[in-house]
Amino acid sequence: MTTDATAFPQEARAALTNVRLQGALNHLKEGFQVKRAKAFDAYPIPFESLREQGRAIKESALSRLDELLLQFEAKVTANGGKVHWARDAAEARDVITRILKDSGAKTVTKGKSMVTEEIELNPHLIANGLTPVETDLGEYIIQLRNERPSHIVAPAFHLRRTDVEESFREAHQALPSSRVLDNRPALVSEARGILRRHFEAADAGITGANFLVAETGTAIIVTNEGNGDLTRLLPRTHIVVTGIEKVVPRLEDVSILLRLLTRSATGQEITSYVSFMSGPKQADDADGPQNFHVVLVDNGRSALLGSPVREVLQCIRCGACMNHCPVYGAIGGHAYGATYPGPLGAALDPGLDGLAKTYHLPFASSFCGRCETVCPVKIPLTKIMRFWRNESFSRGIPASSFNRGLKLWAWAARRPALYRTFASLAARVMRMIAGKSGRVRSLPFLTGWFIVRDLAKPASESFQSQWRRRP
Amino acid sequence: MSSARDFILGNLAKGRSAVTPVPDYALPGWTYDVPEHFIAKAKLSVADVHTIAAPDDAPEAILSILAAQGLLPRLHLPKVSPLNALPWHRAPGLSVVSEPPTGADSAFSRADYGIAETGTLVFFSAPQSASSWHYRPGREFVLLPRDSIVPRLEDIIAHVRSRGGMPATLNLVTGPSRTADIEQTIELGAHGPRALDILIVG
Repeated sequence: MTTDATAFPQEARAALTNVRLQGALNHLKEGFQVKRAKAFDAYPIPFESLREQGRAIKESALSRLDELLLQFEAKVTANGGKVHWARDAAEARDVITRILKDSGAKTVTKGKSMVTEEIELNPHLIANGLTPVETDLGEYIIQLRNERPSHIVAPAFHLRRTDVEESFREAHQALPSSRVLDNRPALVSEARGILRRHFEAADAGITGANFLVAETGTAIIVTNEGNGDLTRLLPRTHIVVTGIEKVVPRLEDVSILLRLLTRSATGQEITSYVSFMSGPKQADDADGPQNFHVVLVDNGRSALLGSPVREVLQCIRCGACMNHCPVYGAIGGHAYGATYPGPLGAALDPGLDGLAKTYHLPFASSFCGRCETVCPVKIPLTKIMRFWRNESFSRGIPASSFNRGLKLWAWAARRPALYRTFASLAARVMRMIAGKSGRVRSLPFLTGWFIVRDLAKPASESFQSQWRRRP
Repeated sequence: MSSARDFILGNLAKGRSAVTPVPDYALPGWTYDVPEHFIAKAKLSVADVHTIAAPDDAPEAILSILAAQGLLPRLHLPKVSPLNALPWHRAPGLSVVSEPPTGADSAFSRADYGIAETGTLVFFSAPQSASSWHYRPGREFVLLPRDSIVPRLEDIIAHVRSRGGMPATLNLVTGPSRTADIEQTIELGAHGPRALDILIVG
């Protein structure tokens, strides 16, 4: 698969005819949309009131992000942990590798973390002689297949049970080949057994964080499997890798955001596990890691704070925007070719990876606005996508026929008489081409546009000329 | 690395804006019986809820649940746990062992609190309480005094403040471990317990 967002048009086209993927995408509605709607309907106060609180918490936290991060750092240090800062992906990879090498680690278990996907941590660890093992079931499956997550909450969303069986048979060669793996419980149980040995053998564990709390120096993970906790609690060293935008002032803020996050993501009132991790084990504690590190990753975020797209930093990574997006629903996550797919990715990836690589993504939207209506922290996603479209046009990225065409159209649109003449000429030609079929399936110079689209036959008389004849 | 820190903080200082106020959080009014709501929500999370009269009844209750499930009459309990003081002799045939449980074993612990809003158990890391034991066993039994059940997570936060801060690890556990990573269908027992038995005392 590609990790190149410049190939988006080709990848999107291929995704539309990928039978396996289209089958998986059918699960979006009952898997995510219905569960989410039920969860909010069941909550005794309106969703709108809860999300306004969530938005206000994140907006307020962003307005003094530097202060909160300093408070967080001071608290983690007082709790016996250590905070590290990384400007970009390369710096983050180096910091993490150095912590691991200094602690003498060889094998590393990993809880689910999109930031470690963003900084492409695993290949770097392997190149440095370390063995990272993804332990979230979905992440483990795609690690075996050398793929990337296709969804930020459900990374193996695009795969079928039989794909998982195939991967397990190939990877777990020590197990008898005659074993039965034709059902989900058998697959889950096999992964449980294999990964338990990894948990017990690991020298270090890496997790992400859903939230950071400034007042207590706490990192919080929200999970259902329990892999994140075994990743933290069994090895000697625990490293939290997360983005700088995750910090909020108080524990009460997390309580509100948690109600929004789990309902928006999976339709749960709460996940099986929510863990508050504030430092290494205390001297007499029965268990827990001896070393606790938090790596705060910037990678483009701090520059977005003072920019017109600042609100994208409010995101709590629930995935609701992609679950409700007609474009994501048609092509899945891989086609985007960037770390974060869907409307969130279209708003965030240009800020993290630069427009030169990601200019297609803000255009991958019909601006229907469904993403905004489900966003638990009210990020104006279409406004942000429109900003990136404008940026890309004014910077001439790409300096393509698309931009020249747009300029030509703008020139004509400001000359009504000329525009009308051309429009009525075009309508006549299109009526001829459509003929009896009633659809226009191709036009000269626009064959590419028509590969997955067609147009209705234009009416015999335009609205404007009908209007002029009105009694 | 101080240069990375300076760079980030410098950028963030440039991006600072007038601090926007956060409104007082509006939570729904609480109209439920606290323990009954806890029990209903815990059952929805696929936990099994049992009621016993006193902590001393736990050994027999656990033995009978294990027998009913056709499970080995063996229970893992950390050496440091105060639960070792329960009258285990009242459950003859149940062996209590102290080594860490594997994914097929049963373990026993005591919750510090229950949260009624979501049917959640709350565990603080401590010398007598092993955090990893909530994730290691195949089945976890948890003792929860009825008067330790509070309405909401906000009440736990108030306890955290009154005890002077967070423990190294604070775990919220709601039902058994689960995953929907294969074909969006929920399977129990991904890495943590496949089953969770809550023994409410009183």
